[in-house]
Amino acid sequence: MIVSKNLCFTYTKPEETSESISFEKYSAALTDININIKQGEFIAILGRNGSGKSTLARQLNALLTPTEGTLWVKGLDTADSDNTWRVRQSLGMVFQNPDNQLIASIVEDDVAFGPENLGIPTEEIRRRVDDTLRTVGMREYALDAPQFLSGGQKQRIAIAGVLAMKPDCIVLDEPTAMLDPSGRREVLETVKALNRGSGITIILITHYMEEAATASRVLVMDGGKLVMDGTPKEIFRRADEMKALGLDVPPVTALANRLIEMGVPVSDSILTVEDFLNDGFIQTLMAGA
Amino acid sequence: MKRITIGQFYPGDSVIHKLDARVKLLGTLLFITALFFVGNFSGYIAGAVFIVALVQMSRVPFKLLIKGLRSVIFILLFAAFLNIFLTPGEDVVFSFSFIRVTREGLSMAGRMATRLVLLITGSSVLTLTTSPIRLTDAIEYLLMPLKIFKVPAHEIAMMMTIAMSSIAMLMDETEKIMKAQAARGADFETGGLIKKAKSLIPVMVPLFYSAFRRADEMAAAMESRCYRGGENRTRLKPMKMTGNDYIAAVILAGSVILILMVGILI
Repeated sequence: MIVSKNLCFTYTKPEETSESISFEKYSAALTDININIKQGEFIAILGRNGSGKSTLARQLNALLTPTEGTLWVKGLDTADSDNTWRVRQSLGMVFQNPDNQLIASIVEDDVAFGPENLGIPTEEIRRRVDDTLRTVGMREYALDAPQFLSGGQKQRIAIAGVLAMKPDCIVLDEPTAMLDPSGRREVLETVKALNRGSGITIILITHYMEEAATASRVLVMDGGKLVMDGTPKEIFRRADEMKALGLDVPPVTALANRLIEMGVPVSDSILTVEDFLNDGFIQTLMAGA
Repeated sequence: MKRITIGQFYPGDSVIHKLDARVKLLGTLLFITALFFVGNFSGYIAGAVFIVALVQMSRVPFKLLIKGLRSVIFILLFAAFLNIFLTPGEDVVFSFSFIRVTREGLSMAGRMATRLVLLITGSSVLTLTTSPIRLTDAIEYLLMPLKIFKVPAHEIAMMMTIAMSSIAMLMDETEKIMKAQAARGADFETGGLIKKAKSLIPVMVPLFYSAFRRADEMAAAMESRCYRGGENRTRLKPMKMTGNDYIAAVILAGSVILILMVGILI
């Protein structure tokens, strides 16, 4: 689905002299990224601010193109401008700020914006709008104004808007950063259901370790490089390395790691509270009490 | 909280909401043009009756219209004042050194203010009942003839829509910035006009900054959803004139002509 080979990206800044403007390269944002993401995966990307997560997301959507190396989305080279629209159709993007990505002032008009741009016939747009709004559980808000909805609802509409373009993959760039816990849950449940139900590849950029813990694979970035790649269990076992990267592990994993250090025989692959409660040792403890 | 209702949309499913946006847009333009030919109060009363009837049918709360007027009250007063003092006339009502208030001036000011009120409420009815997307479509349609002269009709219409839908957001942002600065001791209340204006400069800078950032994010969001201008775009709700729309168009045109006749002849 998504393959990159030695992907590098450098932001340029214009250097203005009295005679000409030259573009000087500065600060590499991405260095030598090699990834291979398969259809149906649920990927979480972690990394501190400025580690290149969002730049990578924009690469995937062809909003930016590699300065070196190559990135293929569904076999299409994103650097080729003939592919730009097909790449964007098959790989949708949801941004952090819900207010700045909703274009229309009625929910259903906003969902229709993508398909309208693709030139899809009216009846088919209608069908897609109704279907996707039902999928994200916002059908009854179709005629409302987004400005009166909650943050979680707005993000679900943004997801519906992307979904209406029938993508194979959705990239979400910190979609829950501005939401309250219930909004965060709404968005995450929606995304998970899409992944499980329709087999849509999800790439979730996040600062919340609990969200990353539910992914099928976690990528960790630092300083524009991909530094870790593995299942959540493999990644969160390396708590010290994560800390060195300015990141954390889920609180319950940290607790389990500490218990193991103290010699308590709990499993070393605990990621959620449920994992912890279902752990063999904890179960016997509770049975004893 | 201060709110400008011009450019805001009040969703609903009334007759007026359902009316073809082109009809509404042309109707509004016609009404505004007519207002400039109407010179007497009976004409204005006819205009007001027309607007009240439309608002009733659209089921938009009157409160919203009044709020919209409140935010432009200064422009209204300013226009009225200019007219009171600058209209030449013989019938002096009141004079003090070089200031002369004439009956002609007062009547001119009254007419000007009424005209502005009708103009603003009239266009508010349009934007309150028409979703910006429909309005864009209508503007684009009406600009179509200009495409021959390479006028980017779709782009102009899209820019206007986004500008209008951003007004509310800019107001909110201004309020936030002012509160943040007031919390740190900024003073927007005291001092003369010039001092007050100067105290707004530190508000404008962050406001522009956030507006540009929003524009940038919005552009990225639009591009990532395959927006590439008006070419090959289809519509969820294509513009189609129905029998009702034609009837409404005739009624609208008739009402405006009636207002004109009342305003000029009676």
